[in-house]
Amino acid sequence: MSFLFPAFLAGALAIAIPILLHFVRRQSAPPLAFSDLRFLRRAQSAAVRRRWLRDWLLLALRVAALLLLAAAFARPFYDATGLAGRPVTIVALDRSFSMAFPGMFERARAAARAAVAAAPAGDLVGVVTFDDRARVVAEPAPGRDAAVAAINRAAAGYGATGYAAALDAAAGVIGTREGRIVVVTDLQQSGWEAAAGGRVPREVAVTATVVEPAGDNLAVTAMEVTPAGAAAVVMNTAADDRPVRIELRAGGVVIEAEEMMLAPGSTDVVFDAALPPAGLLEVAVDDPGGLAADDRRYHLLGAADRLAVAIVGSAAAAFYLERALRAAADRERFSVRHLEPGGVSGAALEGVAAVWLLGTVGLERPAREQLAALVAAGAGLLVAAGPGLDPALAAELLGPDAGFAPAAPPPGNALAWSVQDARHPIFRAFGADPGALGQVRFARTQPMELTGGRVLATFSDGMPAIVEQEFGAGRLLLLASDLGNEWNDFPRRPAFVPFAHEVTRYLGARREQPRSRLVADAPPGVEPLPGAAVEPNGGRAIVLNVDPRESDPARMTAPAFEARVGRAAAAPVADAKGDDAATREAEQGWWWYAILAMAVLLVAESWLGRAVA
Amino acid sequence: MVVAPRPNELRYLDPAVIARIGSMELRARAIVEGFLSGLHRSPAQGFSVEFSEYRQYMPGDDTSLIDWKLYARSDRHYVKKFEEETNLECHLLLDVSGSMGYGSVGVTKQEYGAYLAASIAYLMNRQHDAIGLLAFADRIVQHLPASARPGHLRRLLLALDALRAERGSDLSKPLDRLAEALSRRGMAVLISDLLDDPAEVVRGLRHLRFRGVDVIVFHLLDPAELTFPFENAARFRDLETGAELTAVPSAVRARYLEEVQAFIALYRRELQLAGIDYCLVDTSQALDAALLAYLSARSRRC
Repeated sequence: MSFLFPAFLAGALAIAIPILLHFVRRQSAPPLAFSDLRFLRRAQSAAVRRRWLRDWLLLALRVAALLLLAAAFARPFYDATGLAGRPVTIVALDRSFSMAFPGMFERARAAARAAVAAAPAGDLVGVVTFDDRARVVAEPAPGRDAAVAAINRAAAGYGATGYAAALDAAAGVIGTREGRIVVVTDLQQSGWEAAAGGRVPREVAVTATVVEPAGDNLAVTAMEVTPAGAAAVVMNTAADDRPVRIELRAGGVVIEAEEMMLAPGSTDVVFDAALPPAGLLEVAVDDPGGLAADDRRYHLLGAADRLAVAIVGSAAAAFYLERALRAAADRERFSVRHLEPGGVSGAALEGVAAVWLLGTVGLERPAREQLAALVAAGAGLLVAAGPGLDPALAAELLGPDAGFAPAAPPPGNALAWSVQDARHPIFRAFGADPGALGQVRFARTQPMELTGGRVLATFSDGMPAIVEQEFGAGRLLLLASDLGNEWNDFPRRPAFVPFAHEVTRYLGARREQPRSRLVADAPPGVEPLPGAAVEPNGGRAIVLNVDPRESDPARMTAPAFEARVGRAAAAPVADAKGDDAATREAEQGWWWYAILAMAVLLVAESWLGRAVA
Repeated sequence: MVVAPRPNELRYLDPAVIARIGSMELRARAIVEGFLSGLHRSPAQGFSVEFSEYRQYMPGDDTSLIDWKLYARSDRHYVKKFEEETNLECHLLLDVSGSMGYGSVGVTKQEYGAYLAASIAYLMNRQHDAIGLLAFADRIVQHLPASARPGHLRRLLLALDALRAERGSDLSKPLDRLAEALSRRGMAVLISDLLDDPAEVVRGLRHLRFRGVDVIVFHLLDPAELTFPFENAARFRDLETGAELTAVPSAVRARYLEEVQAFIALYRRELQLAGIDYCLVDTSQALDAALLAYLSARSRRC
């Protein structure tokens, strides 16, 4: 028998109430003088003998009723293993590829086994292995053999460290029980850069067991194809220069090799060999004493999909934007098409991931609906105000939450704009100082009518200039001026082209399925190993690379790690495994029977009480 | 203000009414006069040294009672009549132990016993008997030797009036002491609730009886002791020992009454076997019943 909320059992102390009442009432009975107690005493002793059984039965019924009430609140359930309420020790073993220095993971396994052995005798012990993702490889059990066996089976993989995933999984397994988490890791600082999470209940102790790296490492942290050939970034974590041989391979054949003394830190390496038009390109560095997973980086030649972007508007309105996008179409891998509003159709929008809507003259209702459906399905849309945009038609397209008011009269002085959120991806080209955008002068703007949304830039009169809103699965940006050099001089400013590129990339990001992915982002059905792979659906070739952050040698201390662990006020919502007890309790539903039994006992107690009286 | 008793009113025999009368002497007088008037008083006339009156001879009269001197003077037959007179020594043994201080009907058993003792003393005094008083608890509290002198009754009544219930209780000791102290035959009237060891009490009374003393026992019990009418749970405190006992009356009543009846039956049986008159007195009842019992016993002795 186990309890989901054993704290409620403290309510069983209420059984003291009838006993206390008995004594209190006995003390509070009024004194009554009587001549002699001898007969009363004899009668009392006889009556007590008679009542003894009934009184004890009454007391037993009342106590049992209270116990059942407390038990019902504690939510009892039958745990065949008898383990549900016991404290849990979870050993979280880091299997990211930074643990793969020669001999390092064996030391990690030994440390994990030591943590298992050091677990308190009454604890259940489970094992979680983690990199980007966490996996429970040994469910909590009273014995240590399963945990040790799971540790012995574990091996370093190709993922990056993700402490949040590990802690979430461990906390989920512990659930509402008492517990402790021992994280066996190299304390890589980048392990905290992953997604949010990693919060464990306050009652769960988290300690880190450090496994020190075994030596220096060489890593290929980046690679790209350039017009002249290829370029790579190679990192040397040693404190001194190291002789190194770096090879560029195409289809497994070395097409260029560089031997050089590699300075500490990151070094750009440029290859000028002619690349084949298609196939697997690979940069490899020889590093027998370091990590193996980051010694190679892969690139798929000739397979890059271009981002299809459509510019909808008159030729005049689209003139500057079309040229800005076509100027770097090859480099940025844009496939640009200009559509007159009257020419918008399903076929014309086939494969389009980003749409610039610069005018609505001639944009018929079916075209508007197709545009809306495209964006709702995940594409991006930027709607720019201007002389060719009818606010009413735009409102039909955008719905009630976003739109433009009728154009405002020109302001006396030209307006500038300022960026409100410099970290937003559309301003990435301008770095931390988007001052180049401030040179743009706006002679005319168009007010927006919005419900919600995120203002990314404002005009100098305080009105929103660029606003972002969600639109179904897609992204929607509203620009309160035109891009055809009518209401402002933005198209003639240097900032225009990078702005157009970044916005296009941002708009199309949700529809774009990159060919090159991290191991952690391997699609379902693809084994998370670095190298070339084929997607199960469609058979598209992709390459998987390890996360370059994992090659970062920066480490943190164990106290800093433990202090970094987020604490939850209450136990987190347990996952399917951790919520096992709750599931069992819900399936069995014994608390109903406890309430029912309590009601029966109270009825019996009432009847017996009256009979005694 | 002294309330003069009206002899013809039986209500004065109600102990609660009697309790409101000022002095013990007046109470005794009220009780006895009321009792006697209730009986249509007919003082026994018999053979005594105290002349009462002459009556013309009627056929069937004892010829030895004819006053021949008067016949000589008047030539008529008259017979002499004498008031009955006794020369009895009576000892009133009054229990004033703690349990006698209990009363649920306005009069404690000790007060009731005092009225009864006073009434008997008054009655005996009218018959010129010698009366003594022995009040006791676990020791002798008051002792007045028997006497028929004028003024003795008053002393005795004053002593009764001054008595209050004590703490302890021990009947056998004063009974033994009285038995040892008596030099001539007499009569002892024990007024007590007998809440002591029955064996010891009976032994003491037998001792008294063995010394040739006629014994009458008035067993006083309060109606609450006889019926146990309590309803709510209470802590019952013993008047003698101060001990407390929490009990639920409804739960113990039946058994309690059985115990009390067994207690009464025990005394009734044992005292009858010892030739001792036993009279159970409910202190809520009028005193005439007790007086009748006394007179009945008295008549058997004389």
